[in-house]
Amino acid sequence: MIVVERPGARTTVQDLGRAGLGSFGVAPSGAMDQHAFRAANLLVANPLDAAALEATLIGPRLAFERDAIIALTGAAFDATIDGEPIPYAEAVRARAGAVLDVGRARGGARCIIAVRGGIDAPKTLGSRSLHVAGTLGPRALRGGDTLSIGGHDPSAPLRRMPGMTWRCPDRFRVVRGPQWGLFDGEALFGSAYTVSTEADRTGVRFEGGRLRARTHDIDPEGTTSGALQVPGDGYPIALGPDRPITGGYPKIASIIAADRGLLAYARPGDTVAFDMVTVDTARALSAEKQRDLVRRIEEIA
Amino acid sequence: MDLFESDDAILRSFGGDTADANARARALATAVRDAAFAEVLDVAPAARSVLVSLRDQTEPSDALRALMATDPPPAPATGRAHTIGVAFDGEDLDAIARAAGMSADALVVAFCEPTYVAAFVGFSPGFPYLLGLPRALGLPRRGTPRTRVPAGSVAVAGGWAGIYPSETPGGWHLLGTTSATMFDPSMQPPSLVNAGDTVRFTVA
Repeated sequence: MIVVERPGARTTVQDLGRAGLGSFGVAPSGAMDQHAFRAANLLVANPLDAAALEATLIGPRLAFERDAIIALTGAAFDATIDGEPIPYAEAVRARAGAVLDVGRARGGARCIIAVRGGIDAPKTLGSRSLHVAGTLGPRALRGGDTLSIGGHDPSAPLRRMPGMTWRCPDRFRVVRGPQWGLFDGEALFGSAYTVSTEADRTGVRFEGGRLRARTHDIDPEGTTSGALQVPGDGYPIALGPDRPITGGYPKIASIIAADRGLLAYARPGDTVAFDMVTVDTARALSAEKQRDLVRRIEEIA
Repeated sequence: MDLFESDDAILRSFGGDTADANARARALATAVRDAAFAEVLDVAPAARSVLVSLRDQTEPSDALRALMATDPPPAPATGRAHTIGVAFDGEDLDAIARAAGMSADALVVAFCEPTYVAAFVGFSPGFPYLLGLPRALGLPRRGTPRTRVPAGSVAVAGGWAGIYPSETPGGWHLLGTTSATMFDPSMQPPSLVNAGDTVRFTVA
């Protein structure tokens, strides 16, 4: 059992989300960076889809009633256990009575806190993830909440990923979007963009050179994670896991699978640029990223 | 033929009249679902397109690509037939009636006359996009969306009729409200109205 002494700015239970429900208007939700999420679960020897906490900007303060194994991935936060800094991207013991203070984000906006056994919250439509609109899944953490931890094998190995970091990149790789032909597509690559203050799990809005399309109003069409949709003001929005799953804005491009999770770390004021790659390259990068994750994991003796 | 492939999805769009394009999109969506390809994570029709999402680390098979390139005949609307009671007390009812050049009562009669086809569900869980709105009631979205639209709001915009299952921001014109449960995760399926269903509105 975990007692939430302080909830943090916005801390939610997430897992790998609820896929396959687009026909009902249900967004996939789940951890905004699934790569960091999977890594956290691997570090504590959980099943990959065990639920964890996703913290934003200021993390929670959690008291552990019993011995626990935890790991933090995603952006680096000033995390301590009983006041002592803890290693990052590494399984760490929290003794019964210990207090984990995740602290403030040092760089990127979000981190994942995994606990061996997983967060044992009720599932809605197959997932423990909260949809940001609050209509599906357990609500965001509040002070005084208690979280149950699932059963686990206390003798499972502890792991770490030395040197691993997750951050918002300077450059995002994209493939063409379905409405690429409505734009002067090259305009996307001509200049740097700045992350605006409108950045959350539904999407991240960028400001920079305006992208003009022949029309900014298309018949509603399915959206994908990482798609760059462009409303009439010409500023692109990269769609996130809690996006509306259909939309009527043209999509100029789409951030590739290997890069789109890194939107989780974007903070207002960050500057980024976009580079075009082919679909084949995008798939190869995704496969390589997956292999790299497994290669970097090592057991702690 | 409008077939688009990204790194983790395939999108097929249909041209021509919206109702016909939607009927083909629904037909293709059904065919892809029925084929149960191992690499397919989700299949969802929209206004005039079908989006097929692929599982992590997979590529579309030749068979999936081939099916996505076919031209299925339009699917008839043979889903469930719903009758939905509406209290016509929406904030925009009078303004829409004026814009349509009719009395509020005449607007209600006109709105309740057609049998609407649910083209797809999108925007938010359980939100049905309905085709069949009388021409006179076709208006663009509001210039400024509302930050909050009451749950159950029955609304129109851009030639569509729709129902907001929950309180969300919204840019459509509000005609009234229904007490029908449009979305419930414990229902099977969780959405009351689904693509291919029909809807008739009545005065509650």
